[in-house]
Amino acid sequence: MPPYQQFEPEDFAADSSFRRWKLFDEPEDRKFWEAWLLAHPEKADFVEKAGQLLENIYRAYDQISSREIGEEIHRLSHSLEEAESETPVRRLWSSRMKFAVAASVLAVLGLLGWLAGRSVPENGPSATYADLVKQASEPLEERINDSEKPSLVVLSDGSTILLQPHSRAGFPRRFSGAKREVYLSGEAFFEVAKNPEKPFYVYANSLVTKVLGTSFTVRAFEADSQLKVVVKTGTVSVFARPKETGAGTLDEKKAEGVVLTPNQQVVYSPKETRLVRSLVEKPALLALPIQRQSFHFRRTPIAEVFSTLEESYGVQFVFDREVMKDCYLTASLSDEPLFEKIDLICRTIGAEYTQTDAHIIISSRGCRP
Amino acid sequence: MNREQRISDENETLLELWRQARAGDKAAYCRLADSQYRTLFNYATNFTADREVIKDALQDLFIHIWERRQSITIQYVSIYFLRALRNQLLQEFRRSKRTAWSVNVQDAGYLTDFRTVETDIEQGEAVSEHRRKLHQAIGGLPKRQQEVVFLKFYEGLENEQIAEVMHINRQSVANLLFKAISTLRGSLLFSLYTLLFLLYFFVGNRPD
Repeated sequence: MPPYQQFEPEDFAADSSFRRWKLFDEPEDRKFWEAWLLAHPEKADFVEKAGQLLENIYRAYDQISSREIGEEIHRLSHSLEEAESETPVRRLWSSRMKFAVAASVLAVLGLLGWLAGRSVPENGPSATYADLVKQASEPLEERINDSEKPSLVVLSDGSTILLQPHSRAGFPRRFSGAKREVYLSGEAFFEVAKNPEKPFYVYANSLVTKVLGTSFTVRAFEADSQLKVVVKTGTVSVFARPKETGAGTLDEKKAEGVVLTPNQQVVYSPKETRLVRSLVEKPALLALPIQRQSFHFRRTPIAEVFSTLEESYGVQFVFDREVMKDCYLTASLSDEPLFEKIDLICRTIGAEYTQTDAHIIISSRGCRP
Repeated sequence: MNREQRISDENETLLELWRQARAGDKAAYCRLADSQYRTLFNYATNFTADREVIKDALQDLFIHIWERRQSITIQYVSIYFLRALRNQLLQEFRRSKRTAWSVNVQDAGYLTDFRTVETDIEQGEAVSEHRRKLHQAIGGLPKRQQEVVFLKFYEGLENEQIAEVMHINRQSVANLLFKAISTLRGSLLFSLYTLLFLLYFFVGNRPD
Protein backbone atom coordinates (compact mmCIF):
# COMPACT_ATOMS: atom_id res chain seq x y z
CA MET A 1 0.00 0.00 0.00
CA PRO A 2 1.31 3.46 -0.82
CA PRO A 3 2.25 5.64 2.19
CA TYR A 4 -1.13 7.34 2.26
CA GLN A 5 -0.48 8.98 5.60
CA GLN A 6 2.18 11.13 4.03
CA PHE A 7 0.01 12.01 1.05
CA GLU A 8 -0.83 15.56 0.08
CA PRO A 9 -4.20 16.24 -1.58
CA GLU A 10 -2.66 16.13 -5.04
CA ASP A 11 -1.11 12.76 -4.29
CA PHE A 12 -4.51 11.36 -3.44
CA ALA A 13 -5.96 12.89 -6.59
CA ALA A 14 -3.40 11.04 -8.68
CA ASP A 15 -3.69 7.73 -6.87
CA SER A 16 -5.39 5.10 -8.98
CA SER A 17 -7.44 3.56 -6.18
CA PHE A 18 -8.52 6.97 -4.94
CA ARG A 19 -9.56 7.93 -8.48
CA ARG A 20 -11.55 4.73 -8.92
CA TRP A 21 -13.39 5.59 -5.73
CA LYS A 22 -14.04 9.23 -6.53
CA LEU A 23 -14.63 9.03 -10.26
CA PHE A 24 -16.24 5.64 -10.68
CA ASP A 25 -17.41 4.81 -7.18
CA GLU A 26 -15.97 1.32 -7.44
CA PRO A 27 -17.32 -0.66 -4.45
CA GLU A 28 -14.00 -2.20 -3.51
CA ASP A 29 -12.18 1.10 -3.47
CA ARG A 30 -15.02 2.84 -1.72
CA LYS A 31 -14.88 0.23 1.01
CA PHE A 32 -11.16 0.68 1.39
CA TRP A 33 -11.26 4.45 1.57
CA GLU A 34 -14.18 4.59 3.95
CA ALA A 35 -12.30 2.28 6.28
CA TRP A 36 -9.09 4.22 5.83
CA LEU A 37 -10.80 7.48 6.66
CA LEU A 38 -12.23 5.99 9.84
CA ALA A 39 -8.73 5.01 10.86
CA HIS A 40 -7.25 8.38 9.85
CA PRO A 41 -9.85 11.03 10.60
CA GLU A 42 -7.15 13.71 10.64
CA LYS A 43 -6.76 13.16 6.90
CA ALA A 44 -10.38 13.91 6.09
CA ASP A 45 -9.55 17.44 5.06
CA PHE A 46 -6.91 16.34 2.56
CA VAL A 47 -9.16 13.68 1.13
CA GLU A 48 -11.91 16.24 0.76
CA LYS A 49 -9.55 18.62 -1.02
CA ALA A 50 -8.31 15.87 -3.29
CA GLY A 51 -11.87 15.06 -4.28
CA GLN A 52 -12.49 18.71 -5.09
CA LEU A 53 -9.34 18.92 -7.12
CA LEU A 54 -10.45 16.00 -9.26
CA GLU A 55 -13.96 17.31 -9.62
CA ASN A 56 -12.78 20.76 -10.56
CA ILE A 57 -10.14 19.57 -12.99
CA TYR A 58 -12.85 17.62 -14.78
CA ARG A 59 -15.14 20.60 -14.86
CA ALA A 60 -12.42 22.93 -16.03
CA TYR A 61 -11.34 20.65 -18.82
CA ASP A 62 -14.67 19.39 -20.00
CA GLN A 63 -14.93 21.45 -23.13
CA ILE A 64 -17.13 19.39 -25.40
CA SER A 65 -20.66 18.09 -25.20
CA SER A 66 -21.65 14.53 -25.93
CA ARG A 67 -23.82 15.73 -28.78
CA GLU A 68 -20.82 17.30 -30.46
CA ILE A 69 -18.82 14.14 -30.00
CA GLY A 70 -21.65 12.19 -31.60
CA GLU A 71 -21.60 14.51 -34.58
CA GLU A 72 -17.87 14.20 -34.96
CA ILE A 73 -17.97 10.41 -34.80
CA HIS A 74 -20.74 10.47 -37.35
CA ARG A 75 -18.59 12.63 -39.59
CA LEU A 76 -15.69 10.25 -39.10
CA SER A 77 -17.74 7.24 -40.08
CA HIS A 78 -18.70 8.98 -43.30
CA SER A 79 -15.11 9.84 -44.08
CA LEU A 80 -14.14 6.23 -43.54
CA GLU A 81 -16.85 5.13 -45.95
CA GLU A 82 -15.71 7.54 -48.61
CA ALA A 83 -12.14 6.51 -48.11
CA GLU A 84 -12.88 3.05 -49.38
CA SER A 85 -16.02 2.33 -51.30
CA GLU A 86 -16.08 -1.31 -52.18
CA THR A 87 -19.06 -3.23 -53.38
CA PRO A 88 -21.96 -1.86 -55.39
CA VAL A 89 -24.29 -3.32 -52.78
CA ARG A 90 -23.28 -0.45 -50.58
CA ARG A 91 -25.16 2.07 -52.63
CA LEU A 92 -28.45 0.40 -51.99
CA TRP A 93 -28.32 1.26 -48.33
CA SER A 94 -28.99 4.91 -48.80
CA SER A 95 -31.94 4.42 -51.09
CA ARG A 96 -33.60 2.31 -48.48
CA MET A 97 -34.53 5.30 -46.39
CA LYS A 98 -37.35 6.32 -48.65
CA PHE A 99 -39.19 3.12 -48.33
CA ALA A 100 -41.72 2.27 -45.72
CA VAL A 101 -41.93 -1.36 -44.97
CA ALA A 102 -45.43 -2.68 -44.79
CA ALA A 103 -44.80 -6.28 -44.14
CA SER A 104 -47.47 -7.47 -41.81
CA VAL A 105 -46.73 -11.10 -41.74
CA LEU A 106 -43.68 -13.02 -40.92
CA ALA A 107 -42.97 -16.37 -42.25
CA VAL A 108 -40.04 -18.42 -41.46
CA LEU A 109 -39.07 -20.87 -44.00
CA GLY A 110 -36.26 -23.10 -43.19
CA LEU A 111 -35.10 -25.65 -45.59
CA LEU A 112 -33.01 -27.79 -43.44
CA GLY A 113 -31.11 -30.71 -44.69
CA TRP A 114 -29.97 -32.92 -41.91
CA LEU A 115 -28.50 -35.86 -43.66
CA ALA A 116 -25.00 -34.60 -43.57
CA GLY A 117 -22.50 -37.00 -44.98
CA ARG A 118 -24.94 -38.41 -47.43
CA SER A 119 -24.16 -37.34 -50.91
CA VAL A 120 -26.79 -36.01 -53.26
CA PRO A 121 -28.22 -38.84 -55.34
CA GLU A 122 -26.96 -38.79 -58.88
CA ASN A 123 -30.42 -38.78 -60.31
CA GLY A 124 -31.35 -35.84 -58.11
CA PRO A 125 -32.05 -32.47 -59.60
CA SER A 126 -29.07 -30.65 -60.95
CA ALA A 127 -30.59 -27.41 -59.78
CA THR A 128 -27.41 -25.84 -58.60
CA TYR A 129 -27.13 -22.20 -57.83
CA ALA A 130 -24.93 -21.65 -60.86
CA ASP A 131 -27.53 -23.17 -63.19
CA LEU A 132 -30.31 -21.09 -61.70
CA VAL A 133 -28.35 -17.89 -61.94
CA LYS A 134 -27.59 -18.53 -65.60
CA GLN A 135 -31.29 -18.48 -66.35
CA ALA A 136 -31.94 -15.20 -64.61
CA SER A 137 -33.57 -12.62 -66.83
CA GLU A 138 -31.79 -9.64 -65.29
CA PRO A 139 -28.09 -9.03 -64.66
CA LEU A 140 -27.34 -10.00 -61.08
CA GLU A 141 -25.28 -8.70 -58.25
CA GLU A 142 -23.83 -11.28 -55.97
CA ARG A 143 -22.94 -11.34 -52.33
CA ILE A 144 -20.93 -14.19 -50.88
CA ASN A 145 -20.59 -14.59 -47.14
CA ASP A 146 -17.37 -16.41 -46.40
CA SER A 147 -17.18 -15.18 -42.85
CA GLU A 148 -18.39 -16.91 -39.71
CA LYS A 149 -21.07 -14.32 -39.03
CA PRO A 150 -24.34 -13.46 -40.75
CA SER A 151 -24.06 -10.64 -43.22
CA LEU A 152 -26.85 -8.25 -44.12
CA VAL A 153 -27.73 -7.48 -47.75
CA VAL A 154 -30.20 -4.73 -48.54
CA LEU A 155 -32.14 -5.04 -51.79
CA SER A 156 -33.31 -2.13 -53.88
CA ASP A 157 -36.91 -2.44 -52.70
CA GLY A 158 -35.85 -2.33 -49.06
CA SER A 159 -36.14 -6.03 -48.45
CA THR A 160 -33.23 -7.52 -46.60
CA ILE A 161 -31.35 -10.77 -46.77
CA LEU A 162 -29.46 -11.88 -43.72
CA LEU A 163 -26.98 -14.14 -45.36
CA GLN A 164 -25.65 -16.92 -43.18
CA PRO A 165 -22.04 -18.13 -43.28
CA HIS A 166 -20.92 -20.04 -46.37
CA SER A 167 -23.91 -18.87 -48.36
CA ARG A 168 -24.36 -16.75 -51.42
CA ALA A 169 -27.18 -14.72 -52.84
CA GLY A 170 -27.79 -13.39 -56.33
CA PHE A 171 -30.15 -10.47 -56.92
CA PRO A 172 -30.69 -7.73 -59.47
CA ARG A 173 -29.55 -4.24 -58.67
CA ARG A 174 -33.09 -3.06 -59.29
CA PHE A 175 -36.21 -5.17 -59.53
CA SER A 176 -37.36 -4.02 -62.95
CA GLY A 177 -39.63 -6.90 -63.96
CA ALA A 178 -43.05 -8.00 -62.78
CA LYS A 179 -41.49 -10.27 -60.17
CA ARG A 180 -38.80 -9.82 -57.60
CA GLU A 181 -36.53 -12.81 -58.00
CA VAL A 182 -33.51 -13.72 -55.96
CA TYR A 183 -31.27 -16.77 -55.91
CA LEU A 184 -29.77 -18.50 -52.97
CA SER A 185 -27.24 -21.12 -52.17
CA GLY A 186 -26.97 -21.92 -48.50
CA GLU A 187 -29.05 -20.29 -45.82
CA ALA A 188 -30.54 -16.87 -45.37
CA PHE A 189 -33.26 -15.01 -43.56
CA PHE A 190 -35.38 -12.75 -45.74
CA GLU A 191 -37.47 -9.79 -44.74
CA VAL A 192 -39.54 -8.84 -47.72
CA ALA A 193 -41.11 -5.45 -48.21
CA LYS A 194 -44.79 -5.81 -48.98
CA ASN A 195 -45.71 -5.24 -52.60
CA PRO A 196 -48.63 -7.35 -53.90
CA GLU A 197 -47.98 -6.21 -57.43
CA LYS A 198 -44.52 -7.66 -57.44
CA PRO A 199 -44.39 -11.02 -55.72
CA PHE A 200 -41.08 -12.06 -54.29
CA TYR A 201 -39.52 -15.37 -55.30
CA VAL A 202 -36.58 -17.19 -53.86
CA TYR A 203 -35.01 -19.88 -56.00
CA ALA A 204 -32.96 -22.25 -53.98
CA ASN A 205 -31.94 -25.69 -55.04
CA SER A 206 -35.07 -27.40 -56.31
CA LEU A 207 -37.53 -25.32 -54.35
CA VAL A 208 -39.27 -22.12 -55.23
CA THR A 209 -40.67 -20.00 -52.45
CA LYS A 210 -43.17 -17.29 -53.22
CA VAL A 211 -44.15 -14.54 -50.83
CA LEU A 212 -46.13 -11.40 -51.14
CA GLY A 213 -44.56 -9.45 -48.35
CA THR A 214 -43.16 -11.16 -45.35
CA SER A 215 -39.95 -12.52 -44.00
CA PHE A 216 -38.59 -16.01 -43.99
CA THR A 217 -35.50 -18.12 -44.01
CA VAL A 218 -34.31 -20.42 -46.71
CA ARG A 219 -31.70 -23.03 -46.15
CA ALA A 220 -30.60 -24.93 -49.19
CA PHE A 221 -27.02 -26.02 -49.27
CA GLU A 222 -26.30 -27.96 -52.37
CA ALA A 223 -25.01 -30.96 -50.49
CA ASP A 224 -28.24 -31.34 -48.53
CA SER A 225 -30.42 -34.19 -49.63
CA GLN A 226 -33.46 -33.30 -47.58
CA LEU A 227 -34.97 -29.88 -47.22
CA LYS A 228 -37.32 -28.44 -44.70
CA VAL A 229 -39.52 -25.39 -44.83
CA VAL A 230 -40.85 -23.85 -41.65
CA VAL A 231 -43.31 -21.01 -41.37
CA LYS A 232 -43.72 -19.01 -38.23
CA THR A 233 -46.37 -16.49 -39.24
CA GLY A 234 -47.78 -15.36 -42.53
CA THR A 235 -48.44 -17.25 -45.70
CA VAL A 236 -45.93 -18.66 -48.08
CA SER A 237 -46.24 -20.88 -51.12
CA VAL A 238 -43.62 -23.49 -51.76
CA PHE A 239 -43.21 -25.31 -55.04
CA ALA A 240 -41.04 -28.11 -56.12
CA ARG A 241 -39.40 -26.98 -59.27
CA PRO A 242 -39.52 -29.58 -62.03
CA LYS A 243 -36.03 -30.57 -63.03
CA GLU A 244 -36.11 -29.21 -66.51
CA THR A 245 -37.81 -25.97 -65.57
CA GLY A 246 -35.64 -22.92 -65.35
CA ALA A 247 -36.12 -20.21 -62.80
CA GLY A 248 -38.81 -17.75 -63.75
CA THR A 249 -40.62 -20.11 -66.08
CA LEU A 250 -42.44 -22.00 -63.40
CA ASP A 251 -46.10 -22.52 -64.14
CA GLU A 252 -47.58 -22.12 -60.71
CA LYS A 253 -50.94 -23.52 -61.68
CA LYS A 254 -49.45 -26.78 -62.79
CA ALA A 255 -46.62 -27.08 -60.33
CA GLU A 256 -47.11 -29.09 -57.20
CA GLY A 257 -47.37 -26.45 -54.51
CA VAL A 258 -48.04 -26.26 -50.82
CA VAL A 259 -49.34 -23.26 -48.99
CA LEU A 260 -47.85 -22.87 -45.57
CA THR A 261 -49.38 -20.93 -42.73
CA PRO A 262 -47.96 -20.25 -39.27
CA ASN A 263 -46.41 -23.12 -37.41
CA GLN A 264 -46.49 -25.39 -40.38
CA GLN A 265 -43.52 -26.89 -42.05
CA VAL A 266 -42.85 -28.83 -45.13
CA VAL A 267 -40.22 -31.47 -45.56
CA TYR A 268 -38.99 -32.02 -49.03
CA SER A 269 -36.86 -34.78 -50.32
CA PRO A 270 -35.71 -34.09 -53.87
CA LYS A 271 -35.25 -37.79 -54.52
CA GLU A 272 -38.93 -38.45 -54.02
CA THR A 273 -39.98 -35.02 -55.28
CA ARG A 274 -42.62 -34.92 -52.64
CA LEU A 275 -43.62 -32.13 -50.31
CA VAL A 276 -44.82 -33.29 -46.90
CA ARG A 277 -46.59 -30.78 -44.74
CA SER A 278 -46.71 -31.00 -40.95
CA LEU A 279 -46.79 -28.87 -37.84
CA VAL A 280 -43.68 -27.30 -36.44
CA GLU A 281 -42.75 -29.09 -33.28
CA LYS A 282 -39.57 -27.44 -32.29
CA PRO A 283 -39.16 -24.03 -33.78
CA ALA A 284 -36.07 -23.78 -31.63
CA LEU A 285 -34.37 -25.97 -34.19
CA LEU A 286 -34.12 -22.95 -36.37
CA ALA A 287 -30.67 -21.60 -36.46
CA LEU A 288 -31.21 -17.86 -36.31
CA PRO A 289 -32.28 -16.04 -33.16
CA ILE A 290 -34.61 -13.73 -35.07
CA GLN A 291 -36.58 -16.65 -36.37
CA ARG A 292 -37.42 -18.11 -33.08
CA GLN A 293 -37.72 -15.18 -30.81
CA SER A 294 -39.68 -12.06 -30.51
CA PHE A 295 -38.03 -9.15 -28.81
CA HIS A 296 -39.63 -8.16 -25.57
CA PHE A 297 -38.09 -5.19 -23.86
CA ARG A 298 -39.24 -3.97 -20.52
CA ARG A 299 -37.49 -0.84 -19.34
CA THR A 300 -34.40 -2.16 -21.02
CA PRO A 301 -31.40 0.16 -21.29
CA ILE A 302 -31.06 1.22 -24.89
CA ALA A 303 -27.51 -0.11 -25.15
CA GLU A 304 -28.85 -3.56 -24.36
CA VAL A 305 -31.62 -3.19 -26.96
CA PHE A 306 -29.09 -2.33 -29.61
CA SER A 307 -26.78 -5.13 -28.69
CA THR A 308 -29.66 -7.60 -28.95
CA LEU A 309 -30.41 -6.40 -32.45
CA GLU A 310 -26.73 -6.41 -33.29
CA GLU A 311 -26.49 -10.02 -32.33
CA SER A 312 -29.57 -11.06 -34.25
CA TYR A 313 -29.02 -9.17 -37.45
CA GLY A 314 -25.27 -8.96 -37.63
CA VAL A 315 -25.36 -5.19 -37.94
CA GLN A 316 -23.73 -2.68 -35.68
CA PHE A 317 -25.00 0.43 -34.02
CA VAL A 318 -22.98 3.54 -33.46
CA PHE A 319 -24.40 5.66 -30.68
CA ASP A 320 -23.30 7.73 -27.77
CA ARG A 321 -23.60 5.69 -24.61
CA GLU A 322 -23.10 8.70 -22.44
CA VAL A 323 -25.88 10.73 -24.04
CA MET A 324 -28.26 7.79 -24.20
CA LYS A 325 -27.59 6.36 -20.79
CA ASP A 326 -31.04 7.38 -19.55
CA CYS A 327 -32.89 5.94 -22.54
CA TYR A 328 -34.96 2.87 -21.87
CA LEU A 329 -37.27 0.92 -24.10
CA THR A 330 -40.46 -0.91 -23.31
CA ALA A 331 -41.77 -2.61 -26.43
CA SER A 332 -42.51 -5.90 -28.09
CA LEU A 333 -41.02 -6.32 -31.52
CA SER A 334 -41.51 -9.36 -33.65
CA ASP A 335 -42.74 -9.21 -37.20
CA GLU A 336 -41.31 -5.92 -38.28
CA PRO A 337 -38.39 -5.94 -40.64
CA LEU A 338 -35.19 -4.66 -39.10
CA PHE A 339 -35.49 -1.09 -40.29
CA GLU A 340 -39.02 -0.81 -39.11
CA LYS A 341 -37.90 -2.02 -35.72
CA ILE A 342 -35.18 0.61 -35.63
CA ASP A 343 -37.64 3.24 -36.77
CA LEU A 344 -40.06 2.29 -34.00
CA ILE A 345 -37.34 2.37 -31.39
CA CYS A 346 -36.09 5.73 -32.56
CA ARG A 347 -39.55 7.25 -32.51
CA THR A 348 -40.14 5.93 -29.02
CA ILE A 349 -37.02 7.51 -27.60
CA GLY A 350 -37.00 10.58 -29.81
CA ALA A 351 -33.90 9.70 -31.77
CA GLU A 352 -33.01 9.52 -35.42
CA TYR A 353 -31.03 7.04 -37.39
CA THR A 354 -28.97 6.92 -40.52
CA GLN A 355 -27.25 4.02 -42.16
CA THR A 356 -23.92 3.45 -43.63
CA ASP A 357 -22.72 0.20 -45.04
CA ALA A 358 -21.64 -1.54 -41.93
CA HIS A 359 -23.56 0.19 -39.22
CA ILE A 360 -26.52 2.16 -38.14
CA ILE A 361 -25.80 5.48 -36.54
CA ILE A 362 -28.22 6.71 -33.92
CA SER A 363 -28.40 10.42 -33.24
CA SER A 364 -29.98 11.30 -29.97
CA ARG A 365 -29.99 14.14 -27.53
CA GLY A 366 -30.58 11.71 -24.74
CA CYS A 367 -33.58 10.98 -22.60
CA ARG A 368 -34.61 12.57 -19.36
CA PRO A 369 -34.26 10.31 -16.38
CA MET B 1 -18.26 13.96 -16.03
CA ASN B 2 -18.49 11.05 -18.33
CA ARG B 3 -17.77 8.45 -15.73
CA GLU B 4 -19.72 5.62 -17.25
CA GLN B 5 -17.73 5.90 -20.40
CA ARG B 6 -14.47 6.00 -18.58
CA ILE B 7 -15.28 2.89 -16.63
CA SER B 8 -15.71 0.96 -19.82
CA ASP B 9 -12.47 2.32 -21.15
CA GLU B 10 -10.45 -0.51 -19.78
CA ASN B 11 -7.48 -1.01 -21.99
CA GLU B 12 -8.43 -4.60 -22.76
CA THR B 13 -11.81 -3.58 -24.12
CA LEU B 14 -10.17 -0.90 -26.18
CA LEU B 15 -7.54 -3.26 -27.51
CA GLU B 16 -10.26 -5.66 -28.59
CA LEU B 17 -11.91 -2.83 -30.53
CA TRP B 18 -8.57 -1.98 -32.03
CA ARG B 19 -8.07 -5.58 -33.12
CA GLN B 20 -11.47 -5.54 -34.81
CA ALA B 21 -10.68 -2.21 -36.41
CA ARG B 22 -7.39 -3.52 -37.75
CA ALA B 23 -9.31 -6.34 -39.38
CA GLY B 24 -11.33 -3.71 -41.22
CA ASP B 25 -14.28 -3.19 -38.90
CA LYS B 26 -15.19 0.47 -39.30
CA ALA B 27 -17.91 0.40 -36.67
CA ALA B 28 -15.46 -0.92 -34.11
CA TYR B 29 -13.07 1.83 -35.07
CA CYS B 30 -15.80 4.44 -34.67
CA ARG B 31 -16.53 3.13 -31.22
CA LEU B 32 -12.89 3.27 -30.35
CA ALA B 33 -12.74 6.85 -31.62
CA ASP B 34 -15.86 7.63 -29.65
CA SER B 35 -14.32 6.31 -26.47
CA GLN B 36 -11.22 8.45 -26.90
CA TYR B 37 -12.79 11.56 -28.29
CA ARG B 38 -13.57 13.51 -25.15
CA THR B 39 -10.18 13.02 -23.62
CA LEU B 40 -8.38 13.86 -26.84
CA PHE B 41 -10.47 16.95 -27.45
CA ASN B 42 -9.91 18.22 -23.94
CA TYR B 43 -6.22 17.44 -24.19
CA ALA B 44 -6.01 19.47 -27.37
CA THR B 45 -7.45 22.51 -25.60
CA ASN B 46 -4.02 22.72 -23.98
CA PHE B 47 -2.64 23.63 -27.39
CA THR B 48 -5.29 25.78 -29.01
CA ALA B 49 -8.56 27.37 -28.01
CA ASP B 50 -10.03 27.04 -31.50
CA ARG B 51 -12.59 24.28 -31.30
CA GLU B 52 -12.98 23.85 -35.04
CA VAL B 53 -9.25 23.45 -35.44
CA ILE B 54 -9.30 20.76 -32.80
CA LYS B 55 -12.19 18.94 -34.44
CA ASP B 56 -10.48 18.94 -37.82
CA ALA B 57 -7.22 17.82 -36.30
CA LEU B 58 -9.01 14.90 -34.63
CA GLN B 59 -10.72 13.91 -37.87
CA ASP B 60 -7.36 13.92 -39.62
CA LEU B 61 -5.79 11.96 -36.83
CA PHE B 62 -8.44 9.25 -36.80
CA ILE B 63 -8.44 8.88 -40.57
CA HIS B 64 -4.67 8.81 -40.69
CA ILE B 65 -4.48 6.09 -38.08
CA TRP B 66 -7.24 4.13 -39.83
CA GLU B 67 -5.36 4.23 -43.11
CA ARG B 68 -2.15 3.09 -41.48
CA ARG B 69 -3.78 0.61 -39.11
CA GLN B 70 -2.03 -2.44 -40.55
CA SER B 71 1.37 -1.09 -39.65
CA ILE B 72 0.47 0.21 -36.21
CA THR B 73 1.02 -1.72 -33.01
CA ILE B 74 -0.73 -0.43 -29.93
CA GLN B 75 -0.07 -1.54 -26.40
CA TYR B 76 -1.84 1.09 -24.42
CA VAL B 77 -4.64 2.64 -26.38
CA SER B 78 -5.19 5.99 -24.71
CA ILE B 79 -1.48 6.72 -24.49
CA TYR B 80 -1.03 5.90 -28.13
CA PHE B 81 -3.76 8.30 -29.18
CA LEU B 82 -2.65 11.08 -26.83
CA ARG B 83 0.84 10.84 -28.13
CA ALA B 84 -0.22 10.69 -31.76
CA LEU B 85 -2.45 13.71 -31.26
CA ARG B 86 0.33 15.65 -29.60
CA ASN B 87 2.74 14.90 -32.43
CA GLN B 88 0.18 15.90 -34.99
CA LEU B 89 -0.72 19.15 -33.25
CA LEU B 90 2.93 20.11 -32.93
CA GLN B 91 3.55 19.32 -36.57
CA GLU B 92 0.58 21.37 -37.67
CA PHE B 93 1.66 24.16 -35.46
CA ARG B 94 5.13 24.24 -36.94
CA ARG B 95 3.76 24.16 -40.45
CA SER B 96 1.23 26.91 -40.13
CA LYS B 97 1.27 30.40 -38.82
CA ARG B 98 -2.35 30.26 -38.03
CA THR B 99 -3.52 32.66 -35.39
CA ALA B 100 -5.67 29.87 -34.09
CA TRP B 101 -2.70 28.58 -32.24
CA SER B 102 -2.91 30.71 -29.20
CA VAL B 103 0.26 29.39 -27.67
CA ASN B 104 3.69 28.54 -28.74
CA VAL B 105 3.79 25.00 -27.58
CA GLN B 106 7.53 24.78 -27.73
CA ASP B 107 8.18 27.67 -25.40
CA ALA B 108 6.86 27.58 -21.94
CA GLY B 109 4.91 30.71 -22.64
CA TYR B 110 2.08 31.87 -20.52
CA LEU B 111 -1.40 31.36 -21.62
CA THR B 112 -3.32 34.39 -20.55
CA ASP B 113 -6.31 34.31 -22.81
CA PHE B 114 -7.55 30.84 -22.18
CA ARG B 115 -11.13 31.09 -23.21
CA THR B 116 -13.55 28.36 -22.41
CA VAL B 117 -16.35 27.83 -24.78
CA GLU B 118 -19.81 26.99 -23.72
CA THR B 119 -20.58 23.48 -24.64
CA ASP B 120 -23.69 22.73 -22.74
CA ILE B 121 -26.16 25.47 -23.38
CA GLU B 122 -28.51 24.31 -20.69
CA GLN B 123 -25.93 24.90 -18.02
CA GLY B 124 -26.26 28.61 -18.32
CA GLU B 125 -23.86 31.46 -17.94
CA ALA B 126 -23.13 31.28 -14.26
CA VAL B 127 -21.61 27.85 -14.54
CA SER B 128 -19.70 28.87 -17.62
CA GLU B 129 -18.37 31.82 -15.73
CA HIS B 130 -17.40 29.54 -12.94
CA ARG B 131 -15.83 27.11 -15.31
CA ARG B 132 -13.90 29.93 -16.87
CA LYS B 133 -12.48 30.78 -13.49
CA LEU B 134 -11.49 27.20 -12.92
CA HIS B 135 -9.84 27.08 -16.25
CA GLN B 136 -8.08 30.34 -15.55
CA ALA B 137 -6.44 28.83 -12.53
CA ILE B 138 -4.94 26.23 -14.83
CA GLY B 139 -4.59 28.62 -17.73
CA GLY B 140 -2.34 30.83 -15.65
CA LEU B 141 0.24 28.07 -15.60
CA PRO B 142 3.02 27.81 -18.13
CA LYS B 143 2.03 25.72 -21.09
CA ARG B 144 3.83 22.53 -20.28
CA GLN B 145 2.69 22.60 -16.69
CA GLN B 146 -0.88 22.75 -17.91
CA GLU B 147 -0.30 19.76 -20.07
CA VAL B 148 1.19 17.80 -17.20
CA VAL B 149 -1.74 18.72 -14.97
CA PHE B 150 -4.14 17.46 -17.60
CA LEU B 151 -2.35 14.16 -18.11
CA LYS B 152 -1.86 13.61 -14.40
CA PHE B 153 -5.19 14.57 -12.94
CA TYR B 154 -7.65 14.43 -15.80
CA GLU B 155 -6.27 11.37 -17.51
CA GLY B 156 -4.76 9.77 -14.41
CA LEU B 157 -1.48 8.77 -16.03
CA GLU B 158 1.64 7.75 -14.16
CA ASN B 159 4.66 10.03 -14.45
CA GLU B 160 6.35 7.48 -16.66
CA GLN B 161 3.42 7.45 -19.06
CA ILE B 162 3.31 11.23 -19.10
CA ALA B 163 6.99 11.23 -19.98
CA GLU B 164 6.22 8.92 -22.86
CA VAL B 165 3.43 11.09 -24.21
CA MET B 166 5.40 14.32 -23.92
CA HIS B 167 8.78 12.95 -25.00
CA ILE B 168 10.55 14.16 -21.89
CA ASN B 169 12.13 12.28 -19.02
CA ARG B 170 10.49 11.33 -15.76
CA GLN B 171 12.39 13.85 -13.72
CA SER B 172 11.16 16.65 -15.95
CA VAL B 173 7.61 15.44 -15.43
CA ALA B 174 8.12 15.46 -11.67
CA ASN B 175 9.58 18.97 -11.81
CA LEU B 176 6.76 20.34 -13.94
CA LEU B 177 4.18 18.78 -11.65
CA PHE B 178 5.84 20.14 -8.54
CA LYS B 179 5.83 23.67 -9.93
CA ALA B 180 2.25 23.41 -11.12
CA ILE B 181 0.98 22.11 -7.79
CA SER B 182 2.81 24.79 -5.87
CA THR B 183 1.06 27.43 -7.94
CA LEU B 184 -2.34 25.81 -7.87
CA ARG B 185 -2.44 25.30 -4.11
CA GLY B 186 -4.86 27.67 -2.57
CA SER B 187 -6.52 28.26 -5.89
CA LEU B 188 -10.15 27.58 -6.64
CA LEU B 189 -9.22 24.12 -7.70
CA PHE B 190 -8.69 23.03 -4.15
CA SER B 191 -11.50 24.95 -2.59
CA LEU B 192 -14.66 23.68 -1.04
CA TYR B 193 -16.54 26.76 -2.12
CA THR B 194 -16.53 25.70 -5.73
CA LEU B 195 -18.15 22.42 -4.99
CA LEU B 196 -20.94 23.93 -2.94
CA PHE B 197 -21.48 26.53 -5.57
CA LEU B 198 -21.78 23.96 -8.30
CA LEU B 199 -24.04 21.73 -6.30
CA TYR B 200 -26.30 24.63 -5.53
CA PHE B 201 -26.37 25.68 -9.12
CA PHE B 202 -27.00 22.30 -10.66
CA VAL B 203 -29.67 21.32 -8.21
CA GLY B 204 -31.34 24.69 -8.45
CA ASN B 205 -31.45 24.69 -12.21
CA ARG B 206 -32.52 21.22 -13.12
CA PRO B 207 -34.95 21.44 -16.02
CA ASP B 208 -37.44 19.24 -14.25
